[in-house]
Amino acid sequence: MKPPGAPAEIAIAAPVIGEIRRHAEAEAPLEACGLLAGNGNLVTRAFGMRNARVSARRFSLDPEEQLAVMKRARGEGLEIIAAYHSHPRGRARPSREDIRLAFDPDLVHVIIALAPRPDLRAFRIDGGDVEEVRLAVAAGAAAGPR
Amino acid sequence: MELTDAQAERYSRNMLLEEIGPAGQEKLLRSKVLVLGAGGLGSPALLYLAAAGVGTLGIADSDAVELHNLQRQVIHCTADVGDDKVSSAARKVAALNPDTRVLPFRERVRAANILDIIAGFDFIVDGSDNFATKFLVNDACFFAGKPFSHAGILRFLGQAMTYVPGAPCYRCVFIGPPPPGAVPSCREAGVIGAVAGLLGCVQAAEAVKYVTGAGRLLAGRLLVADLSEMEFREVAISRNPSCPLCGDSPSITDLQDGPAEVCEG
Ligand SMILES: [Zn+2]
Ligand SMILES: [Zn+2]
Repeated sequence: MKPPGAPAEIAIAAPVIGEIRRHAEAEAPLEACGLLAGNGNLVTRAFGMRNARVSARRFSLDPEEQLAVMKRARGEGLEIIAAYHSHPRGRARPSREDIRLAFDPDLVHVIIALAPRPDLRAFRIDGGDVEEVRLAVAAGAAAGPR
Repeated sequence: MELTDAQAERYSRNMLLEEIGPAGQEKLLRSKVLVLGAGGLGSPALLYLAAAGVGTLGIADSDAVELHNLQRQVIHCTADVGDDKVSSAARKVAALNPDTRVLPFRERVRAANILDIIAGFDFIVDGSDNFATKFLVNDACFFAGKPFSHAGILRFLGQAMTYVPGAPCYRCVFIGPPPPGAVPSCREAGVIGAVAGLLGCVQAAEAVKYVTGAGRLLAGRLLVADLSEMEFREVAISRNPSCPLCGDSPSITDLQDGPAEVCEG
């Protein structure tokens, strides 16, 4: 059983970070968003989703798409660990809006900023409290060098 | 088994460990460990396992030593370039420890031969360099009920986990090979040689622990090392009831060769 609340640290497989970044770059200048799933506190899978707000300043997940993604993840035995979104121009910190709208205190919030260089950080947000979540990068199911 | 004086001296630092002692050393000398891949991970694993007195070391690799291997594949030397990796590695093992017998497998590990190759071994070290083989090793070890050590390396990153029957398998976590293009190709993916060395040593330590019963295996947890930040972390992983291999209604019921990775040079 997982203790309630978002974990204080998570790990992300390196290829997933590449996927988040490519999604964010493809959607820029609009904010990109999605859900991250995996095993325990290890994220192995990104589900890129549409930004229902179609905005450069804010995002929201489409509730129907969210249900579909959660169903798919469950089907693969994955747990939803985090929600991610991009700040195409801002820093990788939750905005006031992000803090106000954080919908699930059990989810980690991953934010990727693109400029001046890609910066990915994770937070837990409970009520108005924001705490950075330690992030480890795992090699993942990657091919090694020959 | 009676240790000779030379063996008592050679292995004294093993046997001084309470968890190993003379009984553990005898287990090592009787043990059979297979190292799949005599590359970046396999090189240090083979050297440390031979040095520890593992009695039988299987070495499986179909490649020849190339100059660009030497940056991390420390069991091979400049003069070995062009020779097959199994012979090159076997010479170093023989020079290091005459107690260790080498079983050579100069073939590519495939769905058709892997069960025969792993059959006689107590523990398998997966030092393969591509994810198709990593999934194949996982599946074969699951079907054969064999414990194995997984490791993966990328740039400054390394990860390792140990499978024993009943513990979460590699597919419980990583499900299946990533779609083509989702991960860097072999050519793009550089790595710090010491990352390979570190993770290969972790795998050797897991093999020694398994054989002797010492310590706590890396089962149900993934070791995550980031040498760029010099951070070492551990992530708990659990059995996935929907795992396609070891889950409640598995979709994988026999061994398949994964998609071959395109890799020039
Ligand atoms: Zn935001
Ligand atoms: Zn499994």
